[in-house]
Amino acid sequence: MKEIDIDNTLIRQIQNGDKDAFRTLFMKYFAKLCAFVHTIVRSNEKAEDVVQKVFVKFWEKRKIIQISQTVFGYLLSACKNESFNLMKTEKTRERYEQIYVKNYKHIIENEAKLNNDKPISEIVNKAIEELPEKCKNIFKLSKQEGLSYQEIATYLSVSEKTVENQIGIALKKLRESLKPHIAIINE
Amino acid sequence: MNNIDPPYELIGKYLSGEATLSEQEFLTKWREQSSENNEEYMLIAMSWGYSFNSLDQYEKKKEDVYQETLKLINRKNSNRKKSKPLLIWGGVAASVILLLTAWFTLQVKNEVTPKIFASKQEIKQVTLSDGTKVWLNSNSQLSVNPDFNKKSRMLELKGEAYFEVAKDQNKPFIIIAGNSRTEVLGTAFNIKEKSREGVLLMVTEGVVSFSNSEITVEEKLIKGEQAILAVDQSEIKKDLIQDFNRFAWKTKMLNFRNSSLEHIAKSLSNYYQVEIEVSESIKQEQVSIQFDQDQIDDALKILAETTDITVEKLESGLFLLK
Repeated sequence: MKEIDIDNTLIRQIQNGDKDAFRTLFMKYFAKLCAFVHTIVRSNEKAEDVVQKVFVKFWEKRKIIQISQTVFGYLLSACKNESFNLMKTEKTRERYEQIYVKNYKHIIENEAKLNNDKPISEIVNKAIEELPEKCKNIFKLSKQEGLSYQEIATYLSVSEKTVENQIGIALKKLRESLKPHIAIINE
Repeated sequence: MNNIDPPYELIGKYLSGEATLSEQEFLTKWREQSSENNEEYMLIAMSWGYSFNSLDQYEKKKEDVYQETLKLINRKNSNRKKSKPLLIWGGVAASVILLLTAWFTLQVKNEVTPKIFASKQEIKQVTLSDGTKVWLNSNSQLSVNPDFNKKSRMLELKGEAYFEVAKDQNKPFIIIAGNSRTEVLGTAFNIKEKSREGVLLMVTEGVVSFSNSEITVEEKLIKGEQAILAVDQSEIKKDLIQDFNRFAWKTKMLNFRNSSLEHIAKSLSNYYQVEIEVSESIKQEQVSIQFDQDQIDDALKILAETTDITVEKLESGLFLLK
């Protein structure tokens, strides 16, 4: 059975109130959705909360849900919306809307193409481990902890320009780590 | 593909939300120049997006989260009137926030220093005019400077409060609590003025600068760290946050992973303000459990169901765990 058919069967079962099917769907996509939400909310706990909330709503609205795309695509959109609802201020929300609405689909689509290879997160995180200590630390504070450049500069007593440089270096290394896998993407 | 490097620093700024409008435009133009450029950008964005994601970590937790999710679904079905907010940072008690916010603006116009009190039995949540959210623990008081949000954002705290400070890089957010001074740009943290050792600060998001009011001693704290300003102001002791259950007054939730029954009983007794005694033979028993009950009796019932212990309530009100 094709992936999409498996998912559609699950959805039909869920709509009939089948909790085992709901569990299967949850287990299948939970981690992936969290990983995606994390790129917006930048905290593991918040990511888990958002995905949990999406699944609770999904169950509550199961009878009236209309899915016009893939189930995963639907869940991604729901997670994206839920994340934006929780962004603290309008300003931040706009900032992220701008970045993500344009990009997230491409990111996911590209990842799908890489699926047969090593998972992207594995490649990328191995590359992070190999970054110089200072560079790794700054990248972590920005991406993982969600600090602004100014905050990082204050915390580490370095200039904002240094933060900018180091993040540039980190991205370059990460990008290079994906290079060997590029052929798959261009197919 | 051309041999010129993509503008990594600019892309980094863009992805971190640091790029100015003109930088954003520049990047858009660069991407539109060629499909190679755009693909480069996508790959960099993707590596950024998937860094630190540790899918494994989520995979490990999914069973736990699923059980919680089931509970939430069942609770909503069976008991609609009493569903707890799922997210501690979601809109808690929205009507209260609105009311107080309105009251606030009014007072500020009259140039009176507004004060917010939380009495013995309550916890108050307010949203300040800059969007900052404050949870004021019981027996606490918050005074807001009349100039609040004009040039800076200054507050005075007595007691304990949790802040989620709205970002505004031009207006520093300053809290005076006892002899301490806490300055932030936009973050979330818990501050307790009257702990036995001095003023206690716990940071859950962002970076905070913590000092005495004269700023002769100062420490920078980051997410996950705590610091205590000694009563005599001689030093600030910095550490990792030891016990996240210290936020329970705000989150309404106590979480234990492999904790001893002795420790659990102590936390429960603090949180519910009751006395609990644990018999010697089971004190060191390790338990993982989560409490979100309103009443101590319900909480102990869950504990008894999860473990092999029995709970006895004495006439004096004391609970005995055996």
